[in-house]
Amino acid sequence: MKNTITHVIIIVVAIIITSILGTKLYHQQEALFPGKDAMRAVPIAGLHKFSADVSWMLFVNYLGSISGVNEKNVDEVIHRLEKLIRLDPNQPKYYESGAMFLSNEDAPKALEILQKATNNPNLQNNSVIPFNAGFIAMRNLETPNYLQAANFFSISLQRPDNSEFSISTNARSCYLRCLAQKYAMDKKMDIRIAMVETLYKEMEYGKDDGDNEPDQYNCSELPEIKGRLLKAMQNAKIENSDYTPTKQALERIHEISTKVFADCHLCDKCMRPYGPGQNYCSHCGNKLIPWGVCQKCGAVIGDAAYCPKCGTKAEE
Amino acid sequence: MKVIYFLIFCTWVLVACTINYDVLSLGLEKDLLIDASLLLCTITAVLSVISITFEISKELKNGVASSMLSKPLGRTHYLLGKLLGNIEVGFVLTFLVAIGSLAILHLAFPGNVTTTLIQSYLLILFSIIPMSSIAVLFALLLPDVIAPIATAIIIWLTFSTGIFSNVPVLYAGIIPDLELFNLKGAATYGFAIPWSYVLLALITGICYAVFASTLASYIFTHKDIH
Repeated sequence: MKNTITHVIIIVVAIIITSILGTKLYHQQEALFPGKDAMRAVPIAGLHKFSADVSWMLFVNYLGSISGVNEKNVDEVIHRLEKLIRLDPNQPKYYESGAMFLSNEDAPKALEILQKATNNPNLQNNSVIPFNAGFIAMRNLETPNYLQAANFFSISLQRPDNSEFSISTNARSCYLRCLAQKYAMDKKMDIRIAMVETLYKEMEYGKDDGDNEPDQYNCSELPEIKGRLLKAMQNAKIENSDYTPTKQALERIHEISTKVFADCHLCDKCMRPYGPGQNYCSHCGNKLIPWGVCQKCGAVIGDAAYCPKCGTKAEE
Repeated sequence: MKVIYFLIFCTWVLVACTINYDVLSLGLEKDLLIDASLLLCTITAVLSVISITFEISKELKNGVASSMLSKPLGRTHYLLGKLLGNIEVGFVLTFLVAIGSLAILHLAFPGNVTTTLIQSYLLILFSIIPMSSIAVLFALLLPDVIAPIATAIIIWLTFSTGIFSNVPVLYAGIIPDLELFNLKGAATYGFAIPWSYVLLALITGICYAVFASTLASYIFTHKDIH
């Protein structure tokens, strides 16, 4: 009897302690690895990771056996990819490569998969996945969704660039292009002018207080933003067979140029910078307002405070 | 016994072979190596645990157990000896597989032996404790043919008991949660695991083993083995 009571007490105490510790560990595990709970629903004795590796190799083998993803096999590709992601939702390669295989045939599905990956807390340092998502939203959708693409590029730029091929430069260009496309569509203007407005707005972004959305990428700190704006203004002024800048556009470009490039010497016609002593633009032949020339002897002195030839103080 | 060491050597060869899958895995051969080594460690642990179900059943059937128990050796001592012996054997075999895998990983991919990976191997080792206690319990409860099969099924099921996580006492109490010892995914990606988690998992395993072995001891005390 005494033996039985001892056994029962030990059993009950052990169950209670194990239960308490087990529940505590379960919650700790969930906090450390969110999404593990979903993986438990696949009953393969905890061998999800290895199964995912094998499934990945089978997937690669399958892709090698088909000539390309088309409407006949796209469902099979999606099914295999979703199975992979269910087994191992934290492997970036499944999204980076797998979703891109789908992008031509089923862009919305690829985007949906990449959106989930972008929101995955274990993939917060991956900049390639949101970049790929932005690229698909910009290029592969039947109707490009520039706002969504810009959001993805913005997310990509805010993450560290650990990719094999540095994508941050491409991401910046794509981000600005998407913003410009969206602006052009909203305001019904030409993309060239929209790009000028977008770059000017992005430059002014950092200077505004409290008006900016916190999750948007801040382009104002980019060292090359001014150069991009100048290039955009130059493009916007070039007339060709399918584009003629309007009067309003030219006035706007002049206004922005006066604000941003007040300290630069730019040709009025082609917006190219010109050096001291030049009377005519070497690019378009436009008459220029010369600068950096001594008022007394006419020597080219550039930014010097005094003329090295006659000693006259330069005009401020 | 030599066969076992030969089998361990074969597992090392299997682990090393995964390096050749760089093209087929599109550059994920390192992940494959780590996952394969963890898989083989788990299989080694499970097989060493299942072996005790054969052993106890055989000794009970052949009368070896009854002749041992006729000497001044209590039934509880007998069970504890089996349990601890099996845990020790499981530890040694799994440790050998783990250490060989770590050496292969270090040779193939220097600098990739992380703390998380070592913790994952430790958790597999610690999972032997509750698994062995389940095996001992089933070896006493069930006939010799069914006991190993039932043990294998229960071990498989205990990795998927998360659906009972809101049921206190039943969850991780009567039904152990071996998924708590499964952090293989973390090992591949190098996610940090606090040492307190590993220690708590060990204590949980020991507490569960106390429960299962006490229950087995109670059943064995009242079992007629002649």
